[in-house]
Amino acid sequence: MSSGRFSKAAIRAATQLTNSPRLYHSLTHLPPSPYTATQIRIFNSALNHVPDHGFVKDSLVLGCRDQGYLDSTHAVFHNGVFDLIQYHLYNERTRLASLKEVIDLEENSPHDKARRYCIERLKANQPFIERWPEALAVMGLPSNISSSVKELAELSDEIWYLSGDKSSDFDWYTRRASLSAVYSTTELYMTQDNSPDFNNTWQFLDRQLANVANLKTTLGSTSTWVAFTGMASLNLLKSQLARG
Amino acid sequence: MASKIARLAGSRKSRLPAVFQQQRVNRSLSYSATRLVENADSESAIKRPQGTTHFGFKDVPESEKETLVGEVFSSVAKSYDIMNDVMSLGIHRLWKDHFVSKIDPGRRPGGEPLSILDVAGGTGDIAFRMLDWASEVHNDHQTKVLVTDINADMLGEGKKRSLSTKYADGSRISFLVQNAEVLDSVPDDSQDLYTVAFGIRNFTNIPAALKSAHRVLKPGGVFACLEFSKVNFSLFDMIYQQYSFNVIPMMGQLIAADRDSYQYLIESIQRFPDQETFAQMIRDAGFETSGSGYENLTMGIAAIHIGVKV
Repeated sequence: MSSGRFSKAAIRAATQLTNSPRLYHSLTHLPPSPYTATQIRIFNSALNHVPDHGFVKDSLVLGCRDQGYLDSTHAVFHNGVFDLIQYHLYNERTRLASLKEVIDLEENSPHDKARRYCIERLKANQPFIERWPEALAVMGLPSNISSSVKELAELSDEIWYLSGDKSSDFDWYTRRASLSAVYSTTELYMTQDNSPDFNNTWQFLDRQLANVANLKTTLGSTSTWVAFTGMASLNLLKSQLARG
Repeated sequence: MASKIARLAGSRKSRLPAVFQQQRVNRSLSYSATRLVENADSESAIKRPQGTTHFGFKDVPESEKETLVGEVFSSVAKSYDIMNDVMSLGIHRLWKDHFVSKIDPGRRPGGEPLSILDVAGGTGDIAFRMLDWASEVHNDHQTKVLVTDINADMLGEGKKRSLSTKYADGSRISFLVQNAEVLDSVPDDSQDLYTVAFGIRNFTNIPAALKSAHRVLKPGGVFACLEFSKVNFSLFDMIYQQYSFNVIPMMGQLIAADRDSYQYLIESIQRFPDQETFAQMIRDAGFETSGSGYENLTMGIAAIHIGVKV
């Protein structure tokens, strides 16, 4: 320290500070990417091999090879091909924020914006849509399912946030839960869709979103009906008892 | 207080008779030992005299640790398999299988056969598994493993075992006495894979060994380490500590008639850095890790650390 240089321990403490997850959320300072530059290069190369080889370790190995590394290098990814899938999910989720300016101009209501973000996100699966069921299968493995569900929750949160959702009551949860359900079913539908430009998928998405809206009205009406009938029955009973 | 217990732990000679008396000693020792563990790291890091290192809970001159560890392994070489079974309840076989399937060694279509360096691999446990994996999963009959160990007795055990396998002709497996901190017979940038299973905690200078690993690996080469680590679930940790300090040395006494070696082995597990610290040591040596850099096995009793030389 006296010689004007930081001790090794001080540097390590400082770097650990910047790498540790923050306890607050900042709009202006986005959290750092969990991936190093090398990993990003390997994953991007590996994704190019997915249409031919699928979501398997071979794609990851070929990605390492393309970037001038060894076949053994793939072992650094602790979860194998699931790490590749997670990279794709993370990458496409964080990409949505860059579309905000365009979508804000072109769409009006939060509902329309959310629909548009869903479409943009689903289009990112297009290059390997025939292989996507393999990815879904890997995501559904018991060891991976909690990370997959977390990623889905973060995606629907991101979409509602970008769409300008300001709800602060219980609606905050129902919106995110219903969008997660809509997104995951549409994603599954898309893997079986042969229509030009996935037109059937976008129609399916609209029907799903409409169903959710209906469901909300139905749920609302049902609860009102239950509350009214309940109170009415109670009053009827009370008046019967009072009369003796 | 601490040094007194450490001295007690180290100097106690194996005594066979009077089982009940023995158990009482165990209990009191383990109690103090568990208490000692809590501040072992911080205390020894500060108060350890210059030029010494830890040997279990004792501080010994760095020059002596090699000999002491050598004595432990020379004396357990013959019963090494039983020792591992006792210490891990037989689970070490599953861990080793998982370790090998995770690094998935072998020649792939369009690729080259691998050169693998298995350090501290004396009895060849990991080496045979890797060769089997390469042959059976990748149909690769060219990948070679160089097994090194500082202890000739352990290597002798491995050589003897290799004679009863299909690798008996020595074309795919070779054995060499090497100090892992130097690896003076292994050229720079020559290996695809560096594995060390249940060995690194016995090294006198772990950072030096990591540096050597970095030196001998090709760019893109993988450092993979399987080692005992810290249990991350406190209730289970309590049970595990009781098991380590009470049952294992006693079993060592009964099975191998060698209590002191087993006492050293569990103490060395306690003194080994936790998952995060060790992952940071790997990064400090110049490796890149992905995610946390490690995978816990059986709630952290053991962990696999992987780094890549970029």
